[in-house]
Amino acid sequence: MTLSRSQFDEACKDFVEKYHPAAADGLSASKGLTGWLWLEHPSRPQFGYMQRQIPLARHVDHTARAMSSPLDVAEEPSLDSVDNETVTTFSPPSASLVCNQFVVHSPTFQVPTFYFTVHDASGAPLSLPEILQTTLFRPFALHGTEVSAFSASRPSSNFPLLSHGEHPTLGTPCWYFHPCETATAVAEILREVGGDDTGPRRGWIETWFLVLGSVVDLRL
Amino acid sequence: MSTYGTTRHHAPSAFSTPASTTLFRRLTWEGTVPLEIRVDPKELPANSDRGLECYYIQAPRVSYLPLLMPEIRRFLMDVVFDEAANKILKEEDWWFESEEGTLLKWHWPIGLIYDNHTISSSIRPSSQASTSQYSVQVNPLKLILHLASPPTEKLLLSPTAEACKQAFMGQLKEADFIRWGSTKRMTGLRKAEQDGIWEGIKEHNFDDYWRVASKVVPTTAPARTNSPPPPPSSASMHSRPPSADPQGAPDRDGAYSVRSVPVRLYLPDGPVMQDLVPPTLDDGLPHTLAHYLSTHLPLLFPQPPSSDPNLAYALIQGVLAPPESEMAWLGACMAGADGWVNVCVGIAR
Repeated sequence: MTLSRSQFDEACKDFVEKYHPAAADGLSASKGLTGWLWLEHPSRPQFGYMQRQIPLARHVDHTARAMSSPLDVAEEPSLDSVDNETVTTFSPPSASLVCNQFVVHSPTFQVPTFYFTVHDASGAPLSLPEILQTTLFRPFALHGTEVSAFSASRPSSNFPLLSHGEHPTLGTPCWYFHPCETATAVAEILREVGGDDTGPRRGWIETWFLVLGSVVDLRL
Repeated sequence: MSTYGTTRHHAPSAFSTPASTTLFRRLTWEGTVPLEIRVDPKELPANSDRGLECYYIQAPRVSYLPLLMPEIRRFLMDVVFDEAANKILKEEDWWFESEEGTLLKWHWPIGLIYDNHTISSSIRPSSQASTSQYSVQVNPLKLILHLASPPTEKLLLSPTAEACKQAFMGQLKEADFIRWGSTKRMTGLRKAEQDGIWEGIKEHNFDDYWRVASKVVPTTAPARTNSPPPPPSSASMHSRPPSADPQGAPDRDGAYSVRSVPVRLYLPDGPVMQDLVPPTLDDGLPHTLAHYLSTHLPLLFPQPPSSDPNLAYALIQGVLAPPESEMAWLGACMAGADGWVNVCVGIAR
């Protein structure tokens, strides 16, 4: 079940309008569906995407580390010396992070794809292990994935779950969830609720966010 | 050269490969581009040997910058750096930029980096007298190698061989998906075979690569002999057009049965364009390069061609591809090792 470029554009614009903060209710905000803008490339058609920026925080207790397997141990302090009773902080609690989120169209898989960047207050990008310890992800959502400096993979999957790549319109480096993982789930849900190819495409984006929301904490 | 019944098998293959297909694949594989690599003078260690910091390499088009790093490092160790400096060098902090200050993408095949530089230069003001034809003069691509502080805002991080391999395999799987709507041909390969494709790239071994790739990349069936005559500018290519064979059924798994050919379109600036490219058009005729270009860039490639001189040209693997080339044929014979046909469009002067 796919979205062509023009279907994607139309669905996103409808979605942004429907969930505009002025029009949306508190329920939508709590589901993380508000705050998105539709942006276009200044001179090229068919490169439009959705974008929003949200604040993030780092987890401050070391149980958050259970989310990732410590393959990239060079940067992480040893766990051996940590007393289970105490709280381990990796950064001052007041340090705030900025997360830029994008919904772009994948021309290969013809579905939406979630791209994001995370920077600290000084503007430096976080490493992947650091990102996994922020509030961006649902707790334990990435449990069981193998984490390297440039990707997070599930051993049984064809593609890495989370990879590093270029934003297709901006060309800047981002992290992204591989699109084929979510597309199948969305298709199943839409079939369950009786969605079909002729139905309003806006339902596609909402359902897609629902699936994404099981891994990414989209709430503002 | 006959393409009928005398297929040369480099290795057991799911598809019988006409000799002409193998010829063009080998020519593509063996294509190289000249690189001149110079370390940023500001980053040379205090006691290194200056004046010798330039390294020339004829790099395979299908290879990647991270795969050249060990060789560059050996040269720098021998000629420029002393032991102490060498110990602190970390290749994952290395990054390249062109003379014009363009950051080079380590996840792009070297041939694509070179061709992209060629077309970017086509819109830069030139001090030389301009000609109306695309010049076939092959100049070294001058690169500046930086050894530290990669610009993480603009460049994909971590140019390690491992990251490069993962990016490469991802592109192969995407190409597989584009062709057939699933990646089962790629994922149906055993792990040893998947690793074998990458080893073929690392070692630059045609047979090792195609031993596995021929199970995944569609070929042109013996009956289809619509490969175009080699363009006059490719003086280094041996030109022997295949003989025509009108009989034979189209191969169901062949190049003309894919649902879309993996193609990307590069202009001198702006984002990379990618769209569905069916092998045949609605009227049943093969999808040609001329049709593809005039559909996506109608102002640069008007159809029917106007009487004015050409406004633009298209490079595929550094070669001026004839407009009558068929997209499906290009996908089978002149794609990069990652499965993608990269069409680079430059502006004619």
